[in-house]
Amino acid sequence: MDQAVEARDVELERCREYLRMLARLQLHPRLHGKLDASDVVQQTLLSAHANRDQFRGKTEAELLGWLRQILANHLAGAVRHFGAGLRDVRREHSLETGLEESAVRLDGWLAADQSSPSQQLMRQELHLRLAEALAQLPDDQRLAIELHHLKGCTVADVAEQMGRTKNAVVGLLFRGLRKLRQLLHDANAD
Amino acid sequence: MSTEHATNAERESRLNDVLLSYLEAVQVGKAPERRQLLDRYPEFAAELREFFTLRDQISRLASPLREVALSGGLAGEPSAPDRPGFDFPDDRAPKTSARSGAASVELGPIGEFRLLREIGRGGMGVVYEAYQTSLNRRVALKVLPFAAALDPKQLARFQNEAQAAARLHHTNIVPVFAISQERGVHYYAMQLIDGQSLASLLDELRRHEPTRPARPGNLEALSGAGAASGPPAAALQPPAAAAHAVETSAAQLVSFSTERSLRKSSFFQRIAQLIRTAAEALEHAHQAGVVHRDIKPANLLLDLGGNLWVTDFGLALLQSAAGLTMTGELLGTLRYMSPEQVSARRGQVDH
Repeated sequence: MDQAVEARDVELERCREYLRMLARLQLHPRLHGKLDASDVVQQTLLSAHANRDQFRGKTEAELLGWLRQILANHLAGAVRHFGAGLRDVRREHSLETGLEESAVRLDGWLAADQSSPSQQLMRQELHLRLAEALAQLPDDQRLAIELHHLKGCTVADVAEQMGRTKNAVVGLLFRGLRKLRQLLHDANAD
Repeated sequence: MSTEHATNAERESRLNDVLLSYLEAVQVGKAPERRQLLDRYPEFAAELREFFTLRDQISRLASPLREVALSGGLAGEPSAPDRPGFDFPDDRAPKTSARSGAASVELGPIGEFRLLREIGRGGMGVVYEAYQTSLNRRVALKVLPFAAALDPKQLARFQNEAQAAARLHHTNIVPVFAISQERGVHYYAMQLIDGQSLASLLDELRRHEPTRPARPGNLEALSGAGAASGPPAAALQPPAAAAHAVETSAAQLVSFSTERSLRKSSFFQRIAQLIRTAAEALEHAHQAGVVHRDIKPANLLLDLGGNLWVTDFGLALLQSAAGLTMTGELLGTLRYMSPEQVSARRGQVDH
């Protein structure tokens, strides 16, 4: 297999957890049972792989941006497919717009980042590692952390969404963060 | 064995209660000093310290990602009819703002502030109109996602400066209500000013051509927006149609523009007066030992009554710190810097 193509595939694979994390952030937890972030991400990576010639960027940042756009399209498609029973063209349109807005917004944020390129690179790397570390946490710890720290839900909201007590949620957060720190530390050590 | 296990479980449960009450206090804007918590629960000192460190750590990583979720991720919150979202048949009714009758889109809470809508975007952060729960009022909230990436020393410097700025009390300086961070999202709450920045006004003036018939449109009410490039071109209301608040701003713009094109002395007088007001505000700040460091049209606001406000005191340090490289970047926007500032000699910057 062509060396360049192989390298590109490895790059894409690296982004898998990052994309899964973004997909989870975008989807309501109640959808998680019905719509698997993993499936959507798999479709995304397959699309990216099939269309890799179309990607003209050079940096990893550009690659991630490109992948986020593809993810947004696939998420919109998946949710639309799932919600096929609820016919509402206007809502579907606003779903897509909302998703694309989110993807563009994240790009906008990263673009507006006034820190130096090396700091940006570092942060991007951290995001990729964060995603990989989150993937290794027990499900309930990961969910609690994502809902509270990444989505900004209050502890009460998290408790309600997870069907646990607030006390239990705090415990999950504490233990989860601890484990997360350890995983990131270990990843750093490599 | 089982007794020991039960005791550990009980202890963990008590610790969780302590942490929970801390988190809930943060959520309503009444977070106690961390020091206080450590003093009150010495038996949990080690865990508390660890907890704070972990929270700070995740904050540094997570805040730009939070923006993705804040911006209305798919079905993250119960949706209003005009908002992207996914309704389940058994879902709760959409959350509407307690204040307004109409279903305003709530983007999510930061501390005790409930974000209502975005009103501007600048290099440093986004400005939202927000609702302050504890005081039942609308404020402008500037969210600073990259503040979390600062190291503790830089952060301390920024906080000191922002606190000094917050002590300023002057008719033409935008009061600061709160500077805090919550789960990594640093924010800066200040008085909401209905109006627009001079940068945006200048932008409009440049675009406006008196010979072209004015098309109906709106001028966005900007507050604290540091957008150097101004909002997208919004056409002016015809002067005759000026009726409500937004159009008052348009009327100001039109009269500015007319006066300018006619080279009326009143135009120059008005400008001179604005500059004088700004200078007086800065003088007041200097007397109090606070230097703005980033005065530019984007940080000078004109409210609907025609009053000038200076905003974003204390934020310049943040901007520079976040962008600082080893080679040392310049504070402030180059075009508006004083010679002393440009030459980067420490301790000599006085405006």
